[in-house]
Amino acid sequence: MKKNLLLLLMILVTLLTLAGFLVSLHAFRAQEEAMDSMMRSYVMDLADTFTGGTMGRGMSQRNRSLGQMRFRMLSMDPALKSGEAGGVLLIGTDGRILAGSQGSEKLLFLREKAVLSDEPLKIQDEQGNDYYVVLKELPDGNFILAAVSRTVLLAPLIGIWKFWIITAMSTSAAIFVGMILLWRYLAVPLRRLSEKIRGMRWGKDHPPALYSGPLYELESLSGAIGTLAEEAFSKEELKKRYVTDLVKAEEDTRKHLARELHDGPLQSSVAAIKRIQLAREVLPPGAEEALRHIDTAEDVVQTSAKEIRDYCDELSPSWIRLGLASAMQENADRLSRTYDGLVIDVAVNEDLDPLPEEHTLALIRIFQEAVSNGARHGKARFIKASLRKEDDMVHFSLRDDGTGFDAKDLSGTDYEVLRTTGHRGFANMNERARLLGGTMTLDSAPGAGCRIDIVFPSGSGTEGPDQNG
Amino acid sequence: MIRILLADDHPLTRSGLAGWIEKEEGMELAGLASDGESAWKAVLELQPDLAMLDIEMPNGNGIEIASRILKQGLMTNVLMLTAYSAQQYVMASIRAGAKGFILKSAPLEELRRAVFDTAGGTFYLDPSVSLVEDAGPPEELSPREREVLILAGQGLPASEVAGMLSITERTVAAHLTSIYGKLGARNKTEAILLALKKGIVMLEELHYLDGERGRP
Repeated sequence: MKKNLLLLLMILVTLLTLAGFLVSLHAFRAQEEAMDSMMRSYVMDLADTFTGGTMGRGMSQRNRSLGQMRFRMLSMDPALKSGEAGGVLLIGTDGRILAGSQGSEKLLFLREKAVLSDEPLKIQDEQGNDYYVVLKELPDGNFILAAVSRTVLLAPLIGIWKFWIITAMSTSAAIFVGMILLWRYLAVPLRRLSEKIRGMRWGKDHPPALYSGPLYELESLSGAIGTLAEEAFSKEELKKRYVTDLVKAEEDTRKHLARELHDGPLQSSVAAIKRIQLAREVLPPGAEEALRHIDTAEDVVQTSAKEIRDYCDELSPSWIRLGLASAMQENADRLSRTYDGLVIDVAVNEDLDPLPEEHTLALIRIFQEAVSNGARHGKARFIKASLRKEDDMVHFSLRDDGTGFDAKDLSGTDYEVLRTTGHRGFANMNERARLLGGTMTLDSAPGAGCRIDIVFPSGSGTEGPDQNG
Repeated sequence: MIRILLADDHPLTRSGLAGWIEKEEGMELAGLASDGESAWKAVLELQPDLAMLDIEMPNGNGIEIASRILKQGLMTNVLMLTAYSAQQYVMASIRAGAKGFILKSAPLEELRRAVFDTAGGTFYLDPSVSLVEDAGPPEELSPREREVLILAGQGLPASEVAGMLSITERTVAAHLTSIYGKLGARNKTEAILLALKKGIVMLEELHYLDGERGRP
């Protein structure tokens, strides 16, 4: 009801207008009929005045003068003063005018068209004037012809009436057209505008063209909404870039730390181990206490060397420098050690090496995340990963035979959506794909395993957030 | 007497090991190098029996030098010496023609064994690299399993192995699972390394390592 209120209101107004129009039409008809019957009775009365009285019986001198007087009285009727509006004629058997009201000789032409009847006859003259005509025969053989012109007699009334009816009809028509225009240019664009606003993914897409039409108000409204949407989009972009920058900064820091650890503390620890071992070799026999100290020292340094190695692997493994294929294999091997019994197959197309180290690292991280997801949540036993190059784009795809999940809701693969729906792993992968200047798509259904595809441009180094914004 | 060239960029490790080699019976220090370039020059100049090469060195890493030695057909055997235990370092070393792989933190007895084994042309692998306890003699692999292991262990994806042996990928995966069980390995690299270590597979059988695949 509320949805169509405007439409209903407009239909109501249109119906009322139509009703007014019909009422006007009816009134017009009734008025026509009323005028017609008025004219008829008037002309009949006029004829009767002369036939019903002394005129009827013989033409005595007295009667004749009385008749003349009646004609004169008739001529005093303001409506009939000039013969054009009407009059009464006494016409002899020879067709000549014996008597008549003032100016009534103009009406003689009606004699030819008139026929004897009890009902008035409608006759039109050459100018289009309507005459109501009654022709009666007197007992003495003469004729009485009474005629009134509706057109002339009721001219002011007809004028006002016509003006009124035209006004009423054109008002109705104008309202009707107005309603249609209102619907076409206001209601429909408003509906479309709200549909578009409803369909907008706020902050995710650039706003579409909201309105193009003649109305300034709508244009300005849609402009304002467009500006708001654009601002929301920029804000969202800024947030995404911020996340991307954070990931990049974190990765840089990790890499730097790993290198420092590897080149510094790890090498020193290893050197210390060697020296401790050498010291043990040259220990004189019987130096039990010194040997105990040396053993402890070696244990401690061995442990710390192992810890440093683990830290380095965690931060940024040195083996990514071995090249993509080796790094992917190492990663797969390590993951299958972590998830006991998991078989991971890696196929790296030969023409991919060498890839920038950042790319390798990003892929390794995505790989780790995906395998961890598949093995931990999907209970996958077999994972197949492949990397190939196609038209300057690197395609990384990973399939598992796990339980899968409904990925339909994640089709947008937007960081925020993924993060807030508890798919942090996918969110991270998505972010790393963005860092590569590429995109990630997820494909999974319950019972059908999971497939992750990442496509990014090859050759170029890690893209700044500027390029993928 | 084994004439040894030692290349390591860390001065403490270098001098420590150099002192040890000089004192060890049957070993002779032929020369020292602190980076890739000087190591390569020393190899050409000194023609040592054994080159102990650090993997991570400036101006050309140990794997690069090893592959140059292999390409030039020099008689020098290579023992990789590294602070890292990643299995792909081992694979990369084997690809480059190294005969042995040992961690710098390994005990001196192991180092001694590594030196003598590799100098004699026998494959040596640091025990800690495979990360599994040596559980006695391994179960025997079937001939098909051996074929699968040799191909897959070199890094060929299951699809390629399946194509070469005219079996399905699933069968390859099933064979691998069985191989892992028999060797006590948890992935195919570990399986091939263990097989090499235990003499089930010989270095010479790894033909597909000669290509450029995955070379750093």
